[in-house]
Amino acid sequence: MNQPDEDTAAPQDSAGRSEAADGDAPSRRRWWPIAGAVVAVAIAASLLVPASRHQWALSIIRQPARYTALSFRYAWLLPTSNPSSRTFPLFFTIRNEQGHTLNYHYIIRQSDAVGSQTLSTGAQAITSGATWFVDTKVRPTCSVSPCRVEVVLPGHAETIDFILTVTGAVRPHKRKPAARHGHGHHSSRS
Amino acid sequence: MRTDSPALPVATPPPPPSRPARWREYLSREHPWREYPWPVVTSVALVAVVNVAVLANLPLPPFIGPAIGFWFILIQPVYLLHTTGLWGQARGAERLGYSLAGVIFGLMLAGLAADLVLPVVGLERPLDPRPVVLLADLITVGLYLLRRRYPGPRPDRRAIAAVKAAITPLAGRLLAGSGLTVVLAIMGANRLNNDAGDLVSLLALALGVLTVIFLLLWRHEVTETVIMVSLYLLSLALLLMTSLRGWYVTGHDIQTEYQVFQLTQANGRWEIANFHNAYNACLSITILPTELADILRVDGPYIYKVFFQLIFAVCPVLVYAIARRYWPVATAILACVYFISFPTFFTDMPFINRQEIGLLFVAVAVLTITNGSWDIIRRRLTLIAACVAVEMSHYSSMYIFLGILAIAWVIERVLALRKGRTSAAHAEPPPWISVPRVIGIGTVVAVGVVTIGWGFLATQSAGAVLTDAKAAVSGLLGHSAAARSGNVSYSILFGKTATPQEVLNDYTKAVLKIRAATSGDTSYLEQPGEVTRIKAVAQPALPLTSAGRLFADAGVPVAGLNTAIRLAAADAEQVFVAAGLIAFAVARRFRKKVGWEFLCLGIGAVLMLAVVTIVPDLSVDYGLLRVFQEALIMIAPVVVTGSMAIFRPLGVTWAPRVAAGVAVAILISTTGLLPQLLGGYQAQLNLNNSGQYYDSYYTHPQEVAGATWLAWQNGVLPANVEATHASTRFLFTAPGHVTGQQFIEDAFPPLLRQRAWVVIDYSILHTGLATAAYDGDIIPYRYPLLFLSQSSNLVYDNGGVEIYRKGLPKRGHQAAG
Repeated sequence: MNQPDEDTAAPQDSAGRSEAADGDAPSRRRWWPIAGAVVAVAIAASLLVPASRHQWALSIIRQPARYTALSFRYAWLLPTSNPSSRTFPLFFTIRNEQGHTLNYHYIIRQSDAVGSQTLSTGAQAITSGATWFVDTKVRPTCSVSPCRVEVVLPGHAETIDFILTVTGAVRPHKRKPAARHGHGHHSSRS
Repeated sequence: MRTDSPALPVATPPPPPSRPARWREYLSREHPWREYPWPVVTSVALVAVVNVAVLANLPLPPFIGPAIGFWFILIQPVYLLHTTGLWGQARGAERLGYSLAGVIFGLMLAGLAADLVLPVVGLERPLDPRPVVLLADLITVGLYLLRRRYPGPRPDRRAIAAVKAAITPLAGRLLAGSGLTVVLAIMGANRLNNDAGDLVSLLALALGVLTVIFLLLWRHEVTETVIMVSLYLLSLALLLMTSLRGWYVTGHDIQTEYQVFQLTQANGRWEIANFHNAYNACLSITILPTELADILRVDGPYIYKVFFQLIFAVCPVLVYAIARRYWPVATAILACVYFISFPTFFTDMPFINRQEIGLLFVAVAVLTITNGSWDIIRRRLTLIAACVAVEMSHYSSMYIFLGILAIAWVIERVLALRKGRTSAAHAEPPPWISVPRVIGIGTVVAVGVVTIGWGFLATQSAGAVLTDAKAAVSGLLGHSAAARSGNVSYSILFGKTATPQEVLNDYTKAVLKIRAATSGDTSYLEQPGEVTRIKAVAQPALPLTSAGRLFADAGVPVAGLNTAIRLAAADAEQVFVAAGLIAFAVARRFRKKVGWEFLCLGIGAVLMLAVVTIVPDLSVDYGLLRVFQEALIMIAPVVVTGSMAIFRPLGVTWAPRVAAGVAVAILISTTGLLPQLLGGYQAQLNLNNSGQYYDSYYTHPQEVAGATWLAWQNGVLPANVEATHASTRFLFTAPGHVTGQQFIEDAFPPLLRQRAWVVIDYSILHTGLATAAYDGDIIPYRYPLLFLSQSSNLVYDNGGVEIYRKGLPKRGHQAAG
């Protein structure tokens, strides 16, 4: 349509190229191959140095996130009370996403206003990307509500827990202060 | 005839330059392949490769496979359409715009047709890869035949040589600069995702700004093709810097956009009944990404993160083409700079993919309206087709554009009547009064019918617009509280908006009302009073950099400076628009320069902006800044004209220079380059692993792991998950889990429910802050995590996300099974 011609590029030929662009035709682009070669050599050289290779990796490739995931397996079925200090099964998983095999040690403990007590422990090496499905049994013996049963991984910040309401009085002498090691089925799956 | 005169020396023609023999010359004269040059043979081979790979489900190499797929489904059809004779005198960018829009619209329509027809003949999954690849074949063959029927200009050997010759040293530097900006933008985003700092992203921005400056300086020395390619690459770099943040789906609207895309892909067909939602009515985020994903076979999020950005980066080039109809190159470049430096372009558009496609069609519609080389019928029909495409792509963009068209038509009629009366009294009426217009009452009504037909009848997804209209009218009449987005504070029409605490108080009140109304059938967590008295906190700003400290030591208030520059930029753009329109009203030579309809469109866009700003609720529901971005397609050159008019007293030489300097300064500020170099301002997502957008929208791998775990729990669907920030990040989008029946409620403390799974995300765990989204504002507040941990079970923890659930009484003990 009515394309304005004031302040436009220099007059253009049929291919839309300006006359001014023709001025230095014989010598143009000679430095491009040289510059390209220099850049290619510089990139190749940088790949030989581990530190700069790492920088290239950070710029191009996704670096995996490192973490450990701790979770209950049937979280919607966790108990809310334990009136007669019964033993009940507890299923949880530990997933290793740390990028290398790690020894995981878990502790299940109860805590209330009176104090805390270890209920169960266990340990296993988990390869990277694998999940340890822990099936165990615990017998919380809290005397005061609320009683929190928690799973902790010493050396890791992750923790999971659930709250129990103590409905019946528990005599102190029946409480077992000693730690009980976890039992039941331990398996590891990828 | 004989002559006695001595024979003149005959100049013998120089021998033809020797060149290597072509492979076709070895074929016999009758061989059919002699007819086809190597590009055709290569195209056929690549089409065959894609077909075999998709039909036989064979993997193609990473990067190369998606590139060939993208060429197959989009680039080749666009090229075929581009080289037909349908576009008349249209030049490069305009022709590209029509072709790209035509192919995208064709893909959406073809997908819709397949979706409706194929199930009738027994094919239940018409959007699976095999039907889609055959559909793309049909489109390709159809376009090839169309080109044979209506041949247009095609790049022959001479044209290719001319293009090569156009790459002068200066052009080469511009192309290399803009190309390198794209590379650095991609690497910078990856480095930020890998927690490796912002240096490369900063370099990308600095190089992009330098390229813009040299583009303005060397505009006389290079061809327009080089200018447009550079603008495309710079726009792409800005988009990718944001879109590539995060390894998963990052952003606000994109979360639901991804859900409806996955829903369509998982079902192998699009059906509005699967998820009765306005998002699901947008073919641009349902059928289109599914077709692309079927052929490209990349991770779902990258369809939006990369390929939609490759498409949308054409939009600024179309803005340049629109401006070039009436303005010189410098003004058109500056118009494009204003378009891409508007914060919504690079901070929000990559997260609103349906609007990206919608705006592309709006730009094509404006090109159509202003295309004087087409006859009126053709322009009207193409405009209506473009509006159908806008409506099918993004409902809100269509409402705004329909409003602009209607206002433009009214203005045109009013001015025509006035002019007509004046002219009848004094002289002959000016010729434009009798010239038929594209934006006539028929066109506006037709576009309105399209909008109603698709939104209300076909998909029944436009009910919200009626609710919004009622709320707006009610607010105007003072019958209800007039809600306005905080973004309105940037407007020179409305200086004051509610404070963050006032917005949070309003939200709390609304939430408590909901809680009271639903407490009969919903058990909420009992909360002490202090938990429900939530205080808004300020989003922490970036610390001062060493350069910022230098300025601060010299007495410059850096934080205030950054804020002042931003506010000045916002005010300046509005003042420039007003000045531009006044210049058109006052100066006859300006009016004569631009097309009459374009001027009416510009005024319509400004008035529409005013309407959205002034009328209550509209700025909340449609997003004022998004409306401004859409309006810039029409008014960006008006902004430039206004700035030049304001600086006119500086003289003919300095006025354009200062106007260009202001545009570049706005680019430097809004893209985050200046705040990042000095510190003391809000962190932007394209340059930081902090700030409001990062905290609200960035999805961490641990959060994805948490959502995956959650998907396998009982009692999760349909509406039993609560999360803060952009809670839709935790929607289940895996093929086995995606449904249209899922809703994630805000884990705002008064809304915490007894039976809900409460997701505490990465940002709360690392900053202690959550955000509430209300009336278009995002308000940070300190989350009462202690209350939650004391009252609920912590059932999942991976350091980046924690999931809580209140233990349910009378459920008994844990059991296997």
